[in-house]
Amino acid sequence: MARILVADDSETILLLLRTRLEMEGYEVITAADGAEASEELWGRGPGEGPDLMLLDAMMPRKSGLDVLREVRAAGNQIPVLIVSAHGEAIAAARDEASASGYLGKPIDFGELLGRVSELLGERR
Amino acid sequence: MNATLANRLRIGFAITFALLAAVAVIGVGNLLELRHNFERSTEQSYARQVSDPKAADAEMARRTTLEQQVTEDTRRTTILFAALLVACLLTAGFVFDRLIASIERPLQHLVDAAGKLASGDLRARVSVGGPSETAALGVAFNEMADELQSTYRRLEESRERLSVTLESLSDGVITLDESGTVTDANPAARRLVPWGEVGTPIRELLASLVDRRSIDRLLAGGEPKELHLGEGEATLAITASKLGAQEGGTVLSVRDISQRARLERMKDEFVLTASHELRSPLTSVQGFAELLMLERERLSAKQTETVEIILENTRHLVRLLNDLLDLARSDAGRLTIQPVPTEVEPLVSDAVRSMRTQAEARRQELRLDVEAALPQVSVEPDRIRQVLVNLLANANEYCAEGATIRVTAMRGADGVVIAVSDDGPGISPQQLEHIFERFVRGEAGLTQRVSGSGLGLAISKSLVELHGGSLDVDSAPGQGSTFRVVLPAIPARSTRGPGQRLLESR
Repeated sequence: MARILVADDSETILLLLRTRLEMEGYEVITAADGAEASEELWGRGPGEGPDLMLLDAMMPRKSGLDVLREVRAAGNQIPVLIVSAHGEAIAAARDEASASGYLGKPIDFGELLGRVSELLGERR
Repeated sequence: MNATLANRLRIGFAITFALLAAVAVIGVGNLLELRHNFERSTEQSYARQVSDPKAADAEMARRTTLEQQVTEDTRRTTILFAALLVACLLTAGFVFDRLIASIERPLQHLVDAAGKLASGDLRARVSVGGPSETAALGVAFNEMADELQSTYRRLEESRERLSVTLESLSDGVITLDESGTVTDANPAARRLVPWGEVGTPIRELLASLVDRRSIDRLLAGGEPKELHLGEGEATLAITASKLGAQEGGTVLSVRDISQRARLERMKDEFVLTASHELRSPLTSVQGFAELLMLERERLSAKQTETVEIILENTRHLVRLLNDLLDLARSDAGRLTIQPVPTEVEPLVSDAVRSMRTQAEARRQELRLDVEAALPQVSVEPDRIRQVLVNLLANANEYCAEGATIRVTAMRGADGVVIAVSDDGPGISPQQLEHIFERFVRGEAGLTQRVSGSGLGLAISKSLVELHGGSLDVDSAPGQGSTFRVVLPAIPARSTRGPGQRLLESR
């Protein structure tokens, strides 16, 4: 089953996302901020890396948008979904960074799962 | 002695007349007497001559002497008479001269005093004697001067009071003539706006603070307008009002609203931050409640209902947050729309469709009536859908079960009119006045379980106005309510591509 890297600075939200995604049968890797997310992305061996990333836009140390930029700058086209409570931050980022999609908070799980399966389906 | 002018003249004439009469009587009397004496002497002489012819020669001589004497007497009397006449005329002349002088002197005083008064010496007074007419004129003149002086003093005092008021005012006041040139400004105005001098065009004075178009708009309107301009730290509100119709100028009042603006910014920031900060915990509450619902079959009926209540309230909270955020953005001028040419029919049908379930739940009838061949409107579809859904949700919640809600879209004078009407309880005039204000809810909202935040109409109005349209309402208790959204239509011509228009304009 596909592996999803989830990064959010709220432990509760991480727990929620992990629980929900695992219920859907995905394998979930969690990261408490952008820096951890980068480590998880680049630090894993071949075949063990994530197939999709779900990043919170605003996180301490390194934001989800920073990670997105870093990933795209490295030429990696992994699907990235950005989650944010800050609608305006999303609007500002929309032009410069090329995320696969944006989700607002509170997260609509119907929409989230739809997008995830759609993005992973494209890659299958 | 204040005899009237007429009496003085009468006395003058009487004296002159009496003197002349006396002179005439004396003169004529003397002459008559002389003649009488002469005639008697002559008769006696003739008589003696007749009775004594010898004495004829002597009598002749006597008569000659007598004639000579009479001639002498007559001459003397005539001279005396003439002298008296001259004396009499001189006396009359003197009397009239005094009379004229007695009138002329006070009149001259009056003329002098009036001249002084006219040249601004309000203390000028007269002490007029002479005939009672000029005396009365003098008294009247003095009263008039007193009145003038006290009126002037009152005017001066009120002018002084006004000027002190203007100078002490913390708001700036600038007066402009018809051409927009500064004619005066109080100290506060000179402090608040970068000051040049009287005679500077106001456009030049405000050029560093605000763009020309805004100044023109400010000056053009007949009604007061508020212009906010930030000059570094300071925010100013300028209101322009036309001066009275005759003056034709403008008066600007300038108020320093920096403090208010700062507080408003803080409030906006607070609402934005709070609304963002609440989103993460809300995500958790809603997410975990949904997780529970996924395992519904393992929950009791009671537990299921509990989770449903949690979810319902979470959704309400999310709507409230979204509304607050929209309002805060609107206040901060950060609520923006991206209008695109949009067909009205799908937009309205879509909004109606999304309300279908809720209407059916209350057995309400939802009717839709869209005029054929409506022009397109320039709107951001999501935002207008939000407005329509809000109006429909209000109708749904405030109307009783079984009510009819009607949505119509038609061509209007100012664009396309979309009306949402119901046959519900209606709105009282008091409520109607405040209906588009924040946190105002219908009477039913306070008693029934109405889920609205009281922000929906305020936001809807902001949104429609942001599109250049208008939102208003017609309602009366028991008569139902009709909310009308007017959206600017795109003229049929400009629905062609922009490239074509570009070519046409060249």
